[in-house]
Amino acid sequence: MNSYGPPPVFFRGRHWSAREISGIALAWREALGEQFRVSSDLIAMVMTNHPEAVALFFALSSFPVPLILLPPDPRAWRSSPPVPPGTPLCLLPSFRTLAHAGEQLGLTVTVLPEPDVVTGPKGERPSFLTLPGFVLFTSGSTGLPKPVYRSTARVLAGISALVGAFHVPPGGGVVGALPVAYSHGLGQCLLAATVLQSPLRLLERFDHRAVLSLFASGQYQYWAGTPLMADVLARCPLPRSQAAPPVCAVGGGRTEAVFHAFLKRFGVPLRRTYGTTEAPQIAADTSAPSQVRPETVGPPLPGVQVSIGDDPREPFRPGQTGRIWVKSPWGMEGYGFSPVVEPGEDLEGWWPTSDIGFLDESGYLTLIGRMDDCVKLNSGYLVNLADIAGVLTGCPGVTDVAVVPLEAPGGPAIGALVESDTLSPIELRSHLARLLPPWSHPQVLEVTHELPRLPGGKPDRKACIAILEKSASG
Amino acid sequence: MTGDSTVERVQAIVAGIAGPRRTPSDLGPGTPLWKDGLWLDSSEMLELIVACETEFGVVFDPAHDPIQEALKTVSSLAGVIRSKVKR
Repeated sequence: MNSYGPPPVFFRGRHWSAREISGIALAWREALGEQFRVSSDLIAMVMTNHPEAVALFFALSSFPVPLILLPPDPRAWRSSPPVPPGTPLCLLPSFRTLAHAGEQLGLTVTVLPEPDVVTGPKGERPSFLTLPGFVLFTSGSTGLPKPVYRSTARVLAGISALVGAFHVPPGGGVVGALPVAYSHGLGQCLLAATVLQSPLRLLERFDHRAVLSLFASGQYQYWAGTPLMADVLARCPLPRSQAAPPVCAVGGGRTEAVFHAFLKRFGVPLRRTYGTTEAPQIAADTSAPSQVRPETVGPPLPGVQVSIGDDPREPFRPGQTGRIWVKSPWGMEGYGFSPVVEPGEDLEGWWPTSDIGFLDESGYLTLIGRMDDCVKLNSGYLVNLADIAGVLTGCPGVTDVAVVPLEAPGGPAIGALVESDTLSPIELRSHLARLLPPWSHPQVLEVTHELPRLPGGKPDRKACIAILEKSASG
Repeated sequence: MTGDSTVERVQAIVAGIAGPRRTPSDLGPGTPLWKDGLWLDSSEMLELIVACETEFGVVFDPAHDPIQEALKTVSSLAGVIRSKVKR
């Protein structure tokens, strides 16, 4: 079993040594006592970007039961399936106000005592991260968040593979600006610093000025963020030129424009990574700095296999777009709360992601979008509705657009309802013809002065579909 | 019109970020940026800060500027910007 300990943490101008965090962790482990080791199948905590949460994380990581990491916002605690009633929830003293939310979910709440001034463990080095695994949650963008169980060995193997592939030097500082309650932030901030035994500069929330100041210090080797964070860093006013860590990485969406702006400002390429809560660390652009490409997320990491197509055993040829399937040595064990875990749907070990993309001749993966946003036409083409919406929104005179799948007598079709006071369908079709291949054009396109909307202001997709289907049948 | 050009410029930026559908017709200095107001989410708040830095040529310093307080209403944000422009 591994013997990782907490990294030193810098937070709000204060240095928390690894020894101090270990000391607090041991004190809290002692305070929680044996009962947690024997009376429960699981333990939960509220994870947040704070050194005391890091200490609690390591304290609970030495218990022989899986650890559930809940985000600080209790509205996100409702999951499908729910956290088993009776699960102990350990709260930092500063989070005591969340006790009621925990009790409402049927959890057994324990508020920890204030941490003593601790000098750190004496004698033998304590063992941390010996727990069997972690439960983290999907984002819940398509329903209630789902609990995802991954063993500790897999979690650590995945993040070790990523920082190894990026050649982040051991001891090199890590900027922790992502929320560590979620898979991406936990891996790329706290656990990256842990496996590297590097100082972690923890930020409570993303603050572009604070991150820029850390970049300028020259003390950090690794920063992981989101495309939005990179965008803000690359275009906010900056009085003078400055540096960035040698390895800067973002997960998620397309970032070509941000890539170029980031490179121009910092002289460092913005590397893309790809992973999901179920299968983190799938691919990363680990090329030499001058070879990093903005459009791809790089090749699969060593040990990970990626296949594109309807059936992973019959992969599409390079360049052809389809569903992304993954076979990963550090993927999830399944959905749920160990020991009750439902393995994800798979095909001979291949896990189907919700994303589509293609592999090029050199094995680099390019993401196109999500399956939910795509329609497979009878012609065999997979069309990304978000791409069509993006092109239509970019047409001057368009104020909003809904691009939706339609059920037509001849099979799946695409419909676009465009909000504009000035444009006609002919003008919009001519705009599309300039920017998209003919097979991706909407079969039904209508213009309206006002899209039907939900009370919150978002377009009402069902109502849009009804309007377009009525138009198609009329 | 409030007669305060900083408030009016902030108001225009806020309205641009929230978009015409979410901007109330009575948008004014006291309109909350979040709850019971414009409901700007965290990425829109970030967008707002960067837009204000660009518009007014100021830099928000997280160590010294009361950013969380500033992001309550149009007026509170304009107040912090005014104090920075004076410096």
